[in-house]
Amino acid sequence: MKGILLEASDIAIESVGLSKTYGKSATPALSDVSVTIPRSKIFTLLGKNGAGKTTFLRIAATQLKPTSGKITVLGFDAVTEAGRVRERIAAVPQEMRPFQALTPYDHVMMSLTSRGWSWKDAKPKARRTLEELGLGSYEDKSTDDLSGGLRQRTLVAMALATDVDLLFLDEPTIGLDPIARREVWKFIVELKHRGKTIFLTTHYLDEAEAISDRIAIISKGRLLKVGSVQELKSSIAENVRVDVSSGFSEEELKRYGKVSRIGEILRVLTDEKNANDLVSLSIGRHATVNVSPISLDDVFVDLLGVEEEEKPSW
Amino acid sequence: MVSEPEVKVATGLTRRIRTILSFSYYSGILVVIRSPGMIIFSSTTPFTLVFFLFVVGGKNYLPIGVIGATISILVSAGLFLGADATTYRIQYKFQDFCVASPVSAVEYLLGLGLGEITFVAPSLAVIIGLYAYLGMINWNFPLVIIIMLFAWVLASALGFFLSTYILQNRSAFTITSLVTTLLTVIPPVFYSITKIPPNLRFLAYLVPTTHLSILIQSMLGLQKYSLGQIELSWATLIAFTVFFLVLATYKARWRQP
Repeated sequence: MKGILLEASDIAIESVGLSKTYGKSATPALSDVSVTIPRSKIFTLLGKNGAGKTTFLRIAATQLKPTSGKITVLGFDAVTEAGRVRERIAAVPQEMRPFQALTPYDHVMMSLTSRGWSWKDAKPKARRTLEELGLGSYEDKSTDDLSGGLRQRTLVAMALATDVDLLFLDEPTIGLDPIARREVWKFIVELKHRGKTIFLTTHYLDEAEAISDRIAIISKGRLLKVGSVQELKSSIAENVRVDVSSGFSEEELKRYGKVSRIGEILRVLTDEKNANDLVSLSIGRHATVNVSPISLDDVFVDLLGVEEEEKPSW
Repeated sequence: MVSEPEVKVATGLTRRIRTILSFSYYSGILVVIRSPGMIIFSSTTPFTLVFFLFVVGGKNYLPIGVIGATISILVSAGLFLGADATTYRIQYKFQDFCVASPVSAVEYLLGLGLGEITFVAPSLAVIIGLYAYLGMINWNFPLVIIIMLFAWVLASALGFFLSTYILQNRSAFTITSLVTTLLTVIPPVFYSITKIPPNLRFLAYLVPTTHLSILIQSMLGLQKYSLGQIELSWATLIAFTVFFLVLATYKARWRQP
C-alpha cells in the first residue's frame, strides 16, 4: 500500500514488501509492508498491541533485520548501509529506562558526547533541550527521584537533543500526564518546522490526530490504511457520529448505521441524511443526543473491526 | 525555541574516542563517584582468595596469590561488563538506543569496559601496592602491565559477546559468575600449573587465564618456564584475545537478527 508519489529527495523512509518473522514463529510480525514516508513531516504508525508497529520502527531504525523486502532510510539501504543511516537518525525505544545514578543532564550529555559532540558544545545544548522539554528545574536531580513522566521526558530529550534528520519515537508519551504530553508534542512539531522528520508509534489516537501529517494504521503486521487525518476520515462511508444516551435499542439503531456500545451510550456512525433523521426522532422521544463529525478514533475502530471480521485471530 | 549556533560534530577517530570516553565516564567514573560503595563489592572475591591462600600456605604463597588476584580482578571486570551490558540491553533498552546511532559494538564494548575498570581501580591500586611490598616489581613490570591489558580486553570482549545472547536479565549474573569461576578459580591462576598432573595439563592450556598466569609468574621470576612454553603462552594469549574481539565485533548481536 503506497502513500503519495514523491521525489526521491523528499522521501525519508520507503519500504517495499517488508516482512519480518521472529524465529520459527508461524505468524509474521510484519507482512508485505510497502509504505512511503515523506521528509520533514510527522508520520505516525497507529495500531493495537502486537500489531507490528515496533517491529517496523526497529527495522527502519536499523535495530532489527527484516526477513524479506527492502527498506531505505534517508536514501540509504537500512540493511546494507546501516552505518550511513545511523549517522542521521536517533531512536527512543519503547520501554527504555533511564539509569538510576544519573541525572537528566547526564543522560543528554551522554547521548550527545557519545555521538561525537565536544563537551563544550554539548553542555549548552543539553541544558537548552532540557529547558525546552520542561526539565530545566530537574536537570541535576537523580532520575531515581523523578516521576515516571519526567523520566520519560528525559529519554525523549536524549534523542531530541541530537539534531539528527530523522527521529524514531516508540510510544514517546506513554506515562506522561496531559500537560507533559502537550509539551512533548509542541517540541516535536517545532522540530518538524526545523525540517526534521519524526516517525512516531502511539496508542493514543488524540496524539496521532493532533500532531501527525500522515498516519498509517497497522494490524496483525499488515498496513490497512495510510493518509492524512482527513484522508483517513473520508476513507469510510460514514462521516457523522451520533451518540444517543437513552430511548433506543441497539437493534432499532442499526438501520441508521454502524452501532457500537460505549458504556451507557450507543454510538451510531452514519451519513448526514440518516443523522438528521435520527436527531429528529431523538428529539421526539426526548432522548439525549450528541452529533459530531467522525474522529480518528471512529476510523480506527471501524477499520480494525472490519479486519477482525475478515481474519479471525484464533 | 531560539535559533541555535552551528555545531561541528566530530567524525572518524575523534568521534570514536569521544564515544568511548563518554560511556566510560557515565557508566563507570560518575557512578563510582556517586556510589563509592560499589567498589567494595567488586573487590571482595579476589582478596578473599588471597587471604585464604595466605592463611593456608603462609607468606611464601602470597606472590602467586597476588598474581591470581590481579588476573581475577581484571577478568571479573570484563565479565561483569557482560552482566551490565545484559541489563542495559534488556532492562534499560540502552543498547537499542546506541544501535540506532553512529556508535559501533566495539566502541560500546570499550567504553563500558573502561567504565568497569573504574570499579576495580582501587583494588588494582592495592594490588600494585602489594607487588611493591612483596618486592615483585622488576624491569619486566611494563610487560606485566601489557599482559594485564590483554586480560582486560579478552574478558571484556567475551563478556560483551555473551551478553548479547543472554535472553533473560536474571540469567546474566549467574552465567557471568559461572564463567568467572571457570576462568579464574579452577585453572592454575591462583596456583602454579606444576601442581596439575602432567597428563592433565593440556586441559589447563585450553584456558586463556592459564597463559596469563604463566606469563606474569615468569616475568616476575616466580616460576621458571622454558622459552618454548613462554612463546606458546604469548601466542595463545594473543590468539584468544583476537578471537574474542572478532567474536564481539562480528558475531555479537548488536543489531538483532
